[in-house]
This record gives sequence, C-alpha cells and structure tokens, in this order.
Amino acid sequence: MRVSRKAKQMSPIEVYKLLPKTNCGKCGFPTCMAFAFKLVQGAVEVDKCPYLSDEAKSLLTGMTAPPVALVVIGRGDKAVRVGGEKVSFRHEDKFYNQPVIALELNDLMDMEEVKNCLKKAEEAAFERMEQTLKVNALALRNLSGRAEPFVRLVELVKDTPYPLIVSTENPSTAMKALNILKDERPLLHGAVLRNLMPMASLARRFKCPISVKAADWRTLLAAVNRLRGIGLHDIVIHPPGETLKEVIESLTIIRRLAVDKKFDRLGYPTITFPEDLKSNVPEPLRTAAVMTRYSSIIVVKPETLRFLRPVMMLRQSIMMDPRAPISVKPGLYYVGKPTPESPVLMTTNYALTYYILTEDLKNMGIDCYLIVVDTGGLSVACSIAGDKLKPESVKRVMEETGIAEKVKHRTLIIPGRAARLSGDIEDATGWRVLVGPLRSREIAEFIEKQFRRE
Amino acid sequence: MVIGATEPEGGSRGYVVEAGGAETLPFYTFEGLNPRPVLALEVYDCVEPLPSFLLESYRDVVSNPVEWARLVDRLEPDLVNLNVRSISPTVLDRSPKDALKTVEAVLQATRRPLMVTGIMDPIHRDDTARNMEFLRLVAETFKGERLLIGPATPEAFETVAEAALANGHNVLAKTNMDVNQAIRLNELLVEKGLTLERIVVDVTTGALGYGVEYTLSTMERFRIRGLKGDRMARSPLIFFASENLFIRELENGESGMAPIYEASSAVAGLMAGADIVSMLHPESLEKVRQFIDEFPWRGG
Repeated sequence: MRVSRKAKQMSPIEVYKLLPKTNCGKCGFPTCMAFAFKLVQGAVEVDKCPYLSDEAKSLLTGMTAPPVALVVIGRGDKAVRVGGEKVSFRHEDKFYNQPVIALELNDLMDMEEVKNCLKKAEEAAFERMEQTLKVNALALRNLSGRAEPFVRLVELVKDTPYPLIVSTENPSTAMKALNILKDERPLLHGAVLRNLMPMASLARRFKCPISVKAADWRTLLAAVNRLRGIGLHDIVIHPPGETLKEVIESLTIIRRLAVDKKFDRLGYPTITFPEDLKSNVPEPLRTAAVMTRYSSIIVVKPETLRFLRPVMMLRQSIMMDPRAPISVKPGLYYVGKPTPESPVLMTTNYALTYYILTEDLKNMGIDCYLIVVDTGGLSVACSIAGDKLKPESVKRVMEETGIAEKVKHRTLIIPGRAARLSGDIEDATGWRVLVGPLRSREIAEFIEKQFRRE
Repeated sequence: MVIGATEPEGGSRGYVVEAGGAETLPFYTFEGLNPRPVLALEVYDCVEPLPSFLLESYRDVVSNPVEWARLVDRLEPDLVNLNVRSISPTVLDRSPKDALKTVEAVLQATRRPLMVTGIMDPIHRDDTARNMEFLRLVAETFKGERLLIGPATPEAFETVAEAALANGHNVLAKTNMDVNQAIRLNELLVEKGLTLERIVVDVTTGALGYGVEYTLSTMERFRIRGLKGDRMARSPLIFFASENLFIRELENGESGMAPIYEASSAVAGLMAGADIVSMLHPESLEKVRQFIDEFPWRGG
C-alpha cells in the first residue's frame, strides 16, 4: 500500500470523518469516535478497521507513521531496522531502533585483509545484559574506481551474517554489485545529484533502499523529491557537512524538522562517515557525538573497531526505554548451589543492578540466596534517594519466598548503599542485618570476613 | 557563574573561569552560540577509591595531592577539582581541620580556579556530618577565593549554603538523577539566599553502561526547562566523566581504554548540556579539548 507521507496530524473529528461511522466494534472499540481518538494518540493500528477505503487508509497510516521513516536494510535474519523514530529526546518517549554501526571495507583491500577485518568485527562483539553489542552491517566502498575489484569484494562478503551497504557513485558498478545480491535489500549508497536518476532506477529495480547525499539543503531536498516522485520511499539521508560541527548541525536540524515540524522530506534515517570528516578529534569521540545526535547508520573503519566498546555501551544505554526501566521479577533467586548455611543477600529489582551483582557473584564462585525487592526497577542508590526501597517490601518478599525455611541462620546482607535502612530492615524483618560493601566485587571478601566469622 | 578570584578581587588565582550562560540547546550552533564548556581535572587527597591501573601509571604522583595538583596544572585544565575523601570515617577518618592543610597546599601548587569536594557519595550519616563540617571550614578559611564547594544534598544543604553565602563561594548541588529533585534543591538553596548563578547542578553521573542514560536525560530535561523559562532550572550543569574510570570493564584488562571511556562519555555529557565536565585520567583532557575546539563558542 502506498502510504501518504503528506498527511499531517489530524484532530479526532477529522479522523472520524474518514471512518465508516457504523460503530460495528470490529476494531475493539465500542464506537468509531473512540477508535478515532485512539488513532490520533497512535495507540492503535489503522488496520484494526476492516472497512477503510484505500484513500482513508493511506491518509491515516501517514498520520500515525513515525516522523522519521522506518527503513529496513537487508533481508530475513540479516535485516536491520533504522529510523522509525518519534522524538528528538529520549525522555519524550524512547528511541526505537538502535544506531547501526557499519564496518567499512573497500575494494583496495586484498582478500586476506578483508578476512582479517571480518575477524576483527567478530572479536569486537561482546555480551552485556543479555544483549550482544556488535557491528551490525558492512559498508563496501568502491575506492578503486573500477567495477571488477568491487564485484570481487561483494562476492567475498555476501554470505557473511551482515546486511550490506553498497557504496559507489558509478551506476554500472552498482548494478553489477546489486546483480550479485539480487533481493538481499542492501542499502545503495552513492547517489548524488549527478547520478541520481540512474541510481534511483537501480533502487527501484532491485527493490532496495537508497541513500542520497548533497552538499547543501536545496540540492538534498530536490533529490529527495525526485526519488519520491518515482515512488521510492525507502530513503536514507547522507547529511551535508564536511566538518564535525557541520554534520552535528545537519543531523540535529534533520531530526528537529522531521519531528517538530513534521517536515516529511527530511523524515528519513541518516548515514554518517565520522572518519571522513575534516577533524582532529579521536575517532571514538566523533562516533559518540554523531550517535547522540541521531545518526541512524555510522560507518567506522577497521582500525577504530577496537576502541568502540565505550561507544557501544553508550548506545545500549541510550536505547533503554526511559518509561519502563528494565527490571527483573522480585523474588528469591539462587546463585550457584546454596545450602542452609549459605548467606542471604538482598538487592533491588533494577535489571542492571541484578545483572552486575549476579555476574560478580558467579565469577567469585559464591553460592548464596538473593532476595530481589520490588523498587519499581530502580537501582539501590536511586531507590534510597526516592524512598522506593521499603523495609516492608523486604519483609514481604522474604515471607512470600519462605527464605526462613531454606536457611539455618537469620542474617541478611544488604547493599552498602542501603546502609541507612539497616535498622529499619532489621525492625521489619526481625533478621540481623549486615551492611555489605559498596561494590559487588568486594562481596567475596566481605562474606569471608564478616558473614563467616559470625 | 564565576569560579576563582584573582588577587585584586581578594583571592589568589591566576585567572577566573566562567561556567554556564547557555542561551540555546547544546551544539545548536545554527541557532546561537553558547559559552565554551569548562574542563576540570580531578585531584584526590587519598588513593583509597582509585582504580589500580591509575595508581600503576601515576604511582609517584597520585599518592601526593600536591604533586598531583602540579601535574594537573601542567595539563592546563580550566579548573582543578580537589576531592577530599579522606575525611570519611570509613576511609581514613582524617579530621576536617587537618584536611584543610591539603586544600591550602593545593591552592599553593596551582593558581588555577579550584573546586573542593568532600565525600561525593555520602553513604553513612557520619559522612554527611563530616562533609558539612569540612565544607564550612573550607568556606571560612579560604574566604575570597570564590571556590566551588560541595556536595550540598537534599538531606544536607543548609551548612554549605550558609558558609558559601557568608564567604563568597559557589555551591555544587547534588541530587539523584531526577529533574524535579534537582529543581527542588535549587529552590531550597535559593531560599537560603544563594543566587542561581552560584549553584552548579550535579544530577549524579552514571558511567557508560551504568545508568548514564538517566544522567543524560535528566540533564536534557533540566536544560530544556531552564531555556523555556523555568527560573529554578537555570544553573550550570556539571558532568562527572570520571565515573567511567571505576567500572569493572577497566579493572578487567581494558585499562588502556580508560581515557577513551572517559572522553567518550564526556562527549555524551557535553551533547546533553554539561557546562562543566570533570575528568580524572590525565590523558582524557586533551581528547575532549580537541572535540570542543572544533565547535564555535560565544566570545571565541
């Protein structure tokens, strides 16, 4: 279905006029008016109404579509989603699709070098909080200026687990590459004003997303218009700018206009090449800067990979949903193989707190019981400051989980940061409370010195 | 905010540094220019909390706050942040009065404007009491130096506020990653007589992967509210990139990456509106300065 990207925000009354007005209830709401209200809030899918005309559907989908269009690169297991964003600041909602980090390979590299880079990409991946933080795509650049080496590079990496970005300004080279990739949906990168229409027809023929680059806004907007004119909507913008300052400005302007002004000609994901900029700033810092300023795809060079861990951790952090801090279920958890003599520890149900603590406990080979208390997903420090860690909740979890029947002692170890609640928790639970260390990696020593001695 | 006072002004600093004064969102250079952010380097008066890799690289220096201050001085930060943690009963239990000697010695070792912080994460009630006693002494003893002292927290702010007010210093107001708490503490400090340009807001910094998103969002919300006209949200913001040096990833063999972690996080902090960035690793400062140098600032 063609989605009208023209559609602006409508009032519930305007939406209602497009609905069948039969109050049939098939959408799950009692009246068409109720459905209209939900549509305006973006709280329900347009498809829930089975009786919409194509025109109404197109208009309404346009209205509920995110101001930054969602573009999928790659196919099947390899697919990554970019864009689909609704806000400029994560506290206003959340960020939906993480910035893609694409590793740059070029056709001047020999086979050995390419393999080496792919290995580096694999090695750069790491596990954190049950997610794999990694490179998400490969960007293939046609630096040789010739088709043959580029085709060889495409052949070499086409079966890797990464979606591809095919970057060349030469349409005939691009066609040869796309012929190999058939319906793999690579991102075709390299369209500029000069080659726009030949590149656009390739994107249409191979049904792949296309990115467009221009040196100034006027040219960029004209190019986007022409792509849309021939029915292309999977567009990625390569923002204008040759310095870090200019690119940060462009990225910011694009997002703010798309979100605040619903300026749909700029409502697309973006791709940046921070290492190609005229800049003296260390590469990881450039990456961090464009990442915090909305770049949907960030292309990095192989040499930089090993410095990107902090940036990947930053990415994981800013992608957290601020409306719902990731939390674990309150209750009793077993670490290792605890016995009736094992210590009982307590913490809050912020996922990061739980994850770090249990990782440390496992690494230190500690067998223990862990009481996780509901603090609405807040960390120990935050829950103390916000008065969300209640001694009564500690008591309740301990009673509900029957921890008293599982151990012979009556000693509870609480986090160092919860020190000021030690007396209150003692009063509420009737257990002796030991204030643990501030850092979880010091727990082994603490248990040895404090708990065992008792 | 002005930190530091030169001799004609009644202090002993070589220059003064201005922080805050943002008129537009950070790095919205297409809308207007903000003043250049202030970069601070930290000096600790005791090695207790420091990561082992830092101790290994700078052993001779970091065990002596005066030597450390001299090293930091040569790296040319805008501001020196002296952290006096030894006063904590659970650290060295040094008496606040005795700790003043370190402040005095550091003031001798560098002519740069100074920030003096006590125990930044007061866990025990004793810590808070120590902080108050120490900060009051600092404020009185170094009257005229126009220091930045803290932390003032929602639990304990009166003493710091009064001492700063009476002796012409600025206050670091620390809350826990919540924009309303930060604004509330500002209100309390203003009720005490401090003006907003004498308060630096510290919303508490989380390291990368350890809650930094709360810090960034709280800072963004604070700055947006301030720019939209909420008077109590008009103070400059401080971001402690140094928090990143304490994460386990660095202890577990990635210590060579420490300055990159710290500097990357500093960039994220700046992008979210930090007016002051405090760092700990001597090699981080230059990287962040290079970043700042590539953007235009009000007044050059």
